[in-house]
Amino acid sequence: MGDLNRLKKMATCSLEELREMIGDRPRHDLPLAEQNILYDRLHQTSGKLKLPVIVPTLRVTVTDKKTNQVVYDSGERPSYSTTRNWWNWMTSRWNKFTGSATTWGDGYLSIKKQTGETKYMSNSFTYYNRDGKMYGYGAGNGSVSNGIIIGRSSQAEAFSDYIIVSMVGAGSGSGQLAYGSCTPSNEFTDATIPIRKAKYDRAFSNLSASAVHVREAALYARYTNNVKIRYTGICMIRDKFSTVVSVGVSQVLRLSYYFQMNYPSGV
Amino acid sequence: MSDIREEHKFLTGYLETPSFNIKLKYRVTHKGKVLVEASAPAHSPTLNLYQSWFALVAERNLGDSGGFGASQLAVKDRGGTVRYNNSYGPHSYRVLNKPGLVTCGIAVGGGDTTYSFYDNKLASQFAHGSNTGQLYYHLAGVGDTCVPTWVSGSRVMRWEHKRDFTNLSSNAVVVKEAGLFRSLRYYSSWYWALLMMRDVISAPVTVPAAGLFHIEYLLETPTWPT
Repeated sequence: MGDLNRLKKMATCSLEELREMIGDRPRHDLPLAEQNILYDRLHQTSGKLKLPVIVPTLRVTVTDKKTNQVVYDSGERPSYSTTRNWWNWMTSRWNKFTGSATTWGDGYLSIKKQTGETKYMSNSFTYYNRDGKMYGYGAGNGSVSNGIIIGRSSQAEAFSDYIIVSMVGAGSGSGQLAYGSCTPSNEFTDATIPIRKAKYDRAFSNLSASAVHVREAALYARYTNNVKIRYTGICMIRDKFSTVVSVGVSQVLRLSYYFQMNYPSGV
Repeated sequence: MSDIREEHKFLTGYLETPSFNIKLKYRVTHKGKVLVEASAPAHSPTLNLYQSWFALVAERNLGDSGGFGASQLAVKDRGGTVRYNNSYGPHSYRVLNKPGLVTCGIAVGGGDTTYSFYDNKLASQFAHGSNTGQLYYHLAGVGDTCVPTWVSGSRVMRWEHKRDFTNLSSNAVVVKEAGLFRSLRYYSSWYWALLMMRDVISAPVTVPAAGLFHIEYLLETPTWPT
C-alpha cells in the first residue's frame, strides 16, 4: 500500500482497522503525517463527544540574524512527550489536588520540581494571578528556572521525566545560548474550525564563537499555591528532537509551544 | 456513539492526552425499595467547561469582553451574566459541600428543553425546600467528599460527584434534567457559579412523596501512561 493510500485509509477507517495499522508501534515512531491524522481523529472524537482535550504542539526554527533567513523550520508538530507532571496538572485542575510529599507516582496528583522535590497541596491548587499575567509558563531574560528550556541530550523521552537531561546554559560562552524571555502570548482562535490556541514563545541567540547543537526541549511551569508560595521548574513536557538542530554563530533558535483545544463543530 | 467513545478512549490513551469520560447514574428509592435505576454516558459539557478548563490549564485570564461564544474566552454564570476579568485569572474550583446549596454541585430540574452547548443554567431547576415542586438538596458532594480515586487495575483516576435529593412535599416530583455546577474561583475570594454540564434525562423520573433521588456524575481519565 502506498503512503498516500495508507494515510487516506488511516483518516477514515474503523477503530479496529486503526489498531491493526498502528500495531505495537509507539506514537513517536509513526511518520509525522500519521501522527497528525491521529491527532485530527482525536479532535474529532473530542468534538463529537464534547469531551475537551488540550493538545500541545511544538515548532522549532533557526534564523540567521545577518541575513534574516530561516535556515531550519521543523513545522508545527505534535509534542507527544507530556510528563506525569502534565497529567497531574491537567487532571487536578478539574478538582482537588491531592498527593503525598514523598510520593510522585501512580495514584498521587503531586508534582515534582526539577530539583527532585515533590510538592502537593491538600486543598486549593493555585493562588490568584496577582499581576494579571499568566504565571504558568513565563520567564524573564536569562532565566533557566521556568518557561522553555533547551538541552543537548538525545536520551529518549519518558513519562517520568521531570528535568531537561543536559541543559544548554544561558550565556554567551562556548556551548551556551542567550535565553530571551519566555512570553505567553498570541492566543488566537480560528472561528471556522473552531479552535483556541495559546502560544508560548522563546528565542535563544548564539552569541558565542562556535555552533551549539540542541537535541531536546522542555516546558517548565511555575505556580503559586494556596498559601502564596511559588514553585518553579515543574517540567510539563520534554521533547527529544527527531534531528539535531544546529544553531550557528549569530543565529537565533526559536521554540514555540502551543496548547490547542478544538471546540465542538457547529458552535 | 459507543464506537466514538471507544475510539476516543483508545486515542487519548495511545496519544497520552488527558481527558475525561463522563457517565451519569441515578436511582429513585422509596421506603427502601428501588423504583428506578439507570445509567448512561453523559455527553453534555458546556462552553463554560471548555472555557474555564482552558483558562486553568493554559493559565489564561477569562478576559474577553465580547460576549459568550467560542471566540471569546469568557463564561456565563447561572444568573445569565457573562463574566470576564482581564486583571485576574481563575485558579481553582471552590470547595463547597453543604446542604441546600443550589449553585454548586449537582442540581436537578423539571425542564426538558433540548441541551445546548451554550446552556448556563437548568431549564427549570427545582428549588431547595419541602413545598410542592421542590426537592431537599442534601450535601453538594463536590469538594472534600470528592477526592479522586486511583483505580489501580485499569490505571485511571476517577471522580464520583454524588448528591441526594429528598421529596419532602406531599406530591410527586418529576425530574427531567440534571446538571453539574462548579464554583470557579478567581482573585482570592470571588466566585462565579458555572454550569459545566447539563443532561436531559431520556425518560423522566418520578420521585414520589418521601422518595429519595440519588444521582452521580462519574468522571474518569483515560488509562494513565507508564
